[in-house]
Amino acid sequence: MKAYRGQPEIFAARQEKDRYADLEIRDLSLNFGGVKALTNIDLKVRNGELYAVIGPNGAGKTSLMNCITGFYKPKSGRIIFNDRDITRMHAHNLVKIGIGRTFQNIELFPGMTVLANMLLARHLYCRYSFPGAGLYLPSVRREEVRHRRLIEELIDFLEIQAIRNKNVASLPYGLMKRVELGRALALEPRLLVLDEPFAGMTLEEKEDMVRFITEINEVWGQTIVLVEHDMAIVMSISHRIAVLNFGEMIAEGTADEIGRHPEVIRAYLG
Amino acid sequence: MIEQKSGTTDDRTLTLPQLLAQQAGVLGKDFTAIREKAYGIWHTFNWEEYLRYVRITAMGLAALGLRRGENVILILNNHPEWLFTEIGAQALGAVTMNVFTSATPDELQSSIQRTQAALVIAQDQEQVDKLIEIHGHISHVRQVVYIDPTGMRSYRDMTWLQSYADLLQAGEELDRKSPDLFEQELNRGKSKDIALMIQTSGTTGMSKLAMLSHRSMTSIGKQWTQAISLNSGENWLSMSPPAWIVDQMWGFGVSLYSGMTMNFPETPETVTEDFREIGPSVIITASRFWEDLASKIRVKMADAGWIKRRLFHWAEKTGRATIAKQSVGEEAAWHQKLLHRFAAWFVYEPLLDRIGCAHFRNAYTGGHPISPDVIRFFQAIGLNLKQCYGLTEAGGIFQVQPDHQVKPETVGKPLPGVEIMLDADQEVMVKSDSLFSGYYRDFQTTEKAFHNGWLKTGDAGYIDQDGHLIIIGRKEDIIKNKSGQAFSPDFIETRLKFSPYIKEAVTFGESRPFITAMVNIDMENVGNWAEERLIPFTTYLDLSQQKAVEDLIGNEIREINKQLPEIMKIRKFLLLYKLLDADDEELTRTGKVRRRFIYGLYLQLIESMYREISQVETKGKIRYRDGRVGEITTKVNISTI
Repeated sequence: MKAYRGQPEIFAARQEKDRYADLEIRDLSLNFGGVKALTNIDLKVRNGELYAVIGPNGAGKTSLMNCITGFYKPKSGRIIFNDRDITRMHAHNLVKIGIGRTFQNIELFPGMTVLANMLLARHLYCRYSFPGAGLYLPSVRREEVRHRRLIEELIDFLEIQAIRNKNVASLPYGLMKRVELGRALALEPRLLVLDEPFAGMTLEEKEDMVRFITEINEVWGQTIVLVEHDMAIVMSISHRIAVLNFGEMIAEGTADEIGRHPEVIRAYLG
Repeated sequence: MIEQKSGTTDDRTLTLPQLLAQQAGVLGKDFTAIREKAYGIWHTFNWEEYLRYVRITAMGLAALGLRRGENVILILNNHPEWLFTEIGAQALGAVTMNVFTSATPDELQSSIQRTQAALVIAQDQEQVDKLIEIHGHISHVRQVVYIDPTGMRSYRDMTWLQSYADLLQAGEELDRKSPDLFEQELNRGKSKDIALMIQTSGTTGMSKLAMLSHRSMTSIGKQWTQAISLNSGENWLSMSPPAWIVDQMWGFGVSLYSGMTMNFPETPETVTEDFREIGPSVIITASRFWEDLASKIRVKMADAGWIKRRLFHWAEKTGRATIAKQSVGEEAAWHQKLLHRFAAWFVYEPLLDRIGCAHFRNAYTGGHPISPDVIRFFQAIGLNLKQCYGLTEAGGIFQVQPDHQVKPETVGKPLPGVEIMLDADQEVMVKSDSLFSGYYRDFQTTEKAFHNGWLKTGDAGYIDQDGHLIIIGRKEDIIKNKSGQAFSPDFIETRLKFSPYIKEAVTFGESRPFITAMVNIDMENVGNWAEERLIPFTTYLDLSQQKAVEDLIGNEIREINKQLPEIMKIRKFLLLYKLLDADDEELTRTGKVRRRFIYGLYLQLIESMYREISQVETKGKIRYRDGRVGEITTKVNISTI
């Protein structure tokens, strides 16, 4: 006899080894023309960690995320993910080895439904062939059902059942962000990169988002790198925090350490 | 339609859990008892599975030491677990009471303390957090069982809490160890025992706890099953809160008696969609639901293109003309019938399908009185909406309009087995097998509720020439103006609320020369209206105090005044700067206005409507969306009609 509510089967059943994520950035620099976007960044994100990167506008936070997810190619330095050098890898290949992300300015397909947007992420895991899909063989059907079930578990988790069949373009901003998180999770990433997941949200939406992110991290053991502006939220949920200023990392540590760090206080307060 | 396959003996000698066991034996695997949408798919439980879940849940509760006669509080949403836990507790002889999930910690504390509950079943983290907040005051609660484990990981060390999954596990173990225990407990139940309690919404003072016996519930189940000939496998969509009598009466009385299927929507927000997929054949819901639906349809239609708009107006007019003929018992002319048929094809049927109401055999509205105009509107577009009337103390709804007796102002005739009578003060009294057994630990109030075995409803009414009951309003709410003429605020307010721009209205006029109204605008509809006219606004406060909005509402009231008798016409009104809210105790949890409370709170504003001024400055409390409470000073305009 089972009580099925709130107990996702597929997503929760992922093996420890399929979740493992270990990211290391060594001496990373990035230039745009003469502008130094990032200078000699060194950091390590451990498995199961919720790691936040903060800093004032233009500090290079998003640039760093774009390096990790393969959108920018750094000038020098290396990015190591699970003992593999991924510095020069393309974004679509990074997804395959387990790096999923959301964007600061939502990058969903506006003309498609929430369900379609999320199912699209499962393309990565589709094993069936083109002719097989055309004939809709029993094996294809089974696989499709499994993908849909996983998406439904995420929809339930993110509490977006009511908008399942709505066009993304018709949704309010806060919900779009939630859908984007859902799509990133549908990739079953080892490392989840969230670029300003709280930006432009109402207080209530932020509270929901905090709930989702901490739950993903704590219950499902999801390793997360998070870029965020809102200091209060970052301080309350992150295990470790890195502070960037003008492309340089000026501090790294727990929320307590960061709160007391003299350079951080200087960068933020004047 | 599937044949009725229920037990042949008088089922009312059974308790609810016994009735379930009987139905599981008769309907077994062949019929669906419960259907719930989860993870985007409808999951079903047949009657055997239903009983099995109840059995294991009961054993789990027994493992927690729940004893006969103890009370259990449930703070649940509409999900199968609600049925499992409530009937499970009843199978052990415990008495259950549901509390609204929207209750504040204080309200919860009061309900739990009054019942001295031994166990609390809570839906999710939100409810558990409230219980933890008041833990110190409810030490008699031995255990809290939560249904939804989402977000509960950090609570694992608290022994006070247990998940429903663990409860089921413990139940299975106990059931293996003592396989006869469930039957023993089940057979000890008597139909006269108290099954459940319902908190009656207190529009005046503190709420009361009405005790209903198993027999009350099975009786009301029988009355309904016979009155509208319900069959096994017909669908009911459970959407009103379990703390309200309607879903208690249906979930336990009617569905157990008739073998109907209880369907549970995925979330409260998906109801419209789930509606369409299920196509329920019966629905009883609050008048507010229909009022909102009517105004939504009207607003959507006003936004539609020219052709659709014209077509809709023509169809509505045709429908109204046909309904008008029917209500006076005349046959419509052949060409009118033909037009009506066309209107049904092109407009009504697609529209009803769109809103998920295409399969209703019977649709009822209850709770607060509904504007007759809303009923006419739905009947004109082909939805068989009828009024019904009931009372928690009477075991639920006992008065319904029969088919083909379209009379929007009445609440129809009593169900079979129910008698009604009026006393000298025009108070409606009722007698039936489903009447309640009394208020919990309140003998005096119980005494006062009865008169020679008749239950006094507290509503004033009269019976028309066709035997239909017409409710004027709450007996204590019938008010006299300065010159001693009686009027009913409810009567006026329900008519005001039919305007798509008016969300809530409270009228005043006791011992006054004329009637005034305090109005809440409908933020969505008035907001759209303002946007179309390029009127800028920010918050509710800002929008409600704009001159253009004031004129808009003024015109609406002028229109409504035309339908009201002379003494009930509204002379002055003001637009309140905030929405009336149950959190501020201005409304009950079922959405009824708490008139006396509002009268006290806004006395200064009300007084100023009877003075020769056009603007008044007032201080008021305002609750922000994050829960903080602030004080604002604002100027409120008073308009004369």
